[in-house]
Amino acid sequence: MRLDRSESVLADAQGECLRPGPFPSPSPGARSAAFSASARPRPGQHAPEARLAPGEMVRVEALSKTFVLHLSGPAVLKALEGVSFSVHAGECLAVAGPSGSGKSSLLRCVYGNYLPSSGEILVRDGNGAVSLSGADPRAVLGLRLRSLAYASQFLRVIPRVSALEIVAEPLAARGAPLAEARAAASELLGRLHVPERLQALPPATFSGGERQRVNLARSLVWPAPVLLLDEPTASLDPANEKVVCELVTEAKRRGAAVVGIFHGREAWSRVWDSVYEMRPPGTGGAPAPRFRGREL
Amino acid sequence: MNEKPVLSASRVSCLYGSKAGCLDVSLEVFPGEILALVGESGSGKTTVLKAVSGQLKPSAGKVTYRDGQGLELDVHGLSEGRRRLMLRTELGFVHQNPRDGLNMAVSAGANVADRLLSGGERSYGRARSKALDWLDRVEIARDRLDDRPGLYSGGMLQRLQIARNLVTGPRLVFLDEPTGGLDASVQARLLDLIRELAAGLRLAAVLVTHDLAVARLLSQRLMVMKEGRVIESGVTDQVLDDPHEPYTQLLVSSILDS
Repeated sequence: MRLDRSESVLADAQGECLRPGPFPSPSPGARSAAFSASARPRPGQHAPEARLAPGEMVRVEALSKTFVLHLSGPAVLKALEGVSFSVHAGECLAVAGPSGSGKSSLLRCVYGNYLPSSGEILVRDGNGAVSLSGADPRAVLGLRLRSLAYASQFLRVIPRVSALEIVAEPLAARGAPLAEARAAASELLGRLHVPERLQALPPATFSGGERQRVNLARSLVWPAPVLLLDEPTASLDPANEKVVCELVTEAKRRGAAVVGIFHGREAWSRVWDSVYEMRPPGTGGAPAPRFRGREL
Repeated sequence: MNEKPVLSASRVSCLYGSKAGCLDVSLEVFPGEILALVGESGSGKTTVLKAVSGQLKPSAGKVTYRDGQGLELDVHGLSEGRRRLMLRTELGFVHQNPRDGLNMAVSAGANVADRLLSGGERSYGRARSKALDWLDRVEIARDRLDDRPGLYSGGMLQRLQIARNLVTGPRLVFLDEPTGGLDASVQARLLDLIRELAAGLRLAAVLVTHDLAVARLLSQRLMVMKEGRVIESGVTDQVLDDPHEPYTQLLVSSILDS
């Protein structure tokens, strides 16, 4: 059964840019066979290319996330249930759904910030793929360095470091000479309307919108193959929102796969290619991605 | 990913009489990486730090250091002389109380230059100019070079201790609560300095701290210790944002804002 599915994924992916719908929900028996020790690469190891179709950058299969809060009972909180989708190079998937449907948790799982409780997340890493379900921490860090950029809603940095240095850092960490990294950071911040006099200051005193732009610049300053954006323009004015949409469109054009939460913002409807509608866990799981090419 | 660890500890246990300081602790640190050990006082993090830095011989287990030539050295199997030389040149140890890591009887400059001279530097002039260079890098004014460290503030003392440790170009540094006891603004400046130096020099470091915010900002990987054992470990932000063990959840929920 597993083999059939991978073959159909491969076949479907040949001419199509978008994956036609989620993977069929396998029965528990099939799941355990598909993810058994023999079928699955050792955690954190580069999985065989065959696990991802050509051009496929992110694949999430039957992902569930449950929090067990030991200090409150323990209380068990279901954040995600049966989430499946796939994103190819050059595509943007919008994750939609009401508050509490797990949109942010989903992005965090793909970034390796939350550990999946069950299911599988594969992210392309060069010619291979890294599985984020139970991956070795160093494999996750390596994947982030080479492949993953994540813009959270919060900017978390060492106090006293200037906005320019904060944005230059991801480039410098990937081997760019410091002068080059700073020049690129300054140019990008300029496009995002953070003037040079602000670039020299630590963002502690910045407005919410300015901080968000610094945070976005950090993830857009290097050519990440996969971009994860959590409400990237929630506190931006229309002019800045337009710039961010342009930047993400440029990233798509160079082949980046984008997964984002855009909260029904009109400006983004020209950027995303498909929508993945989420429902709170326990209400029937998440339905198939909707494709604007066919349905809208 | 094909890199080899600078330091590896395999199943290290340290017993103090019948009481266990640490039990069955294994860890690896790679070049350019900061590994944080967190836990409350008495959880065994300082014992682990002493064992892996060669200062305390474990009751069981092995600690291996890989030197610049790729040679693997059994840290606790070395002769006393070789071990001391290694501690002075290839390794650094930054104590929580800078007075433990400095010679308070000689000038700040001598504190930095001494380590070079005892590590094999023959030229006093070269040692002095290197010392000056390092005081610049840790932002200590050159006209304070000949002052006794006793005249320095807490933050300056800690920066001096860092300069003293890094002047010999170590590949691996142990940091024991390096920002403990400093006020917030001084702490922020020191964190930035450590982060910059670690990234720029591709230093490997083991950081012991009870401050989860410090661990989050400095380390890539984190190990949580309780009663001498490692109970949870992983990518730093993952362990702090999605802690699984009850004790880690308690630690994370006990801080105001990290």
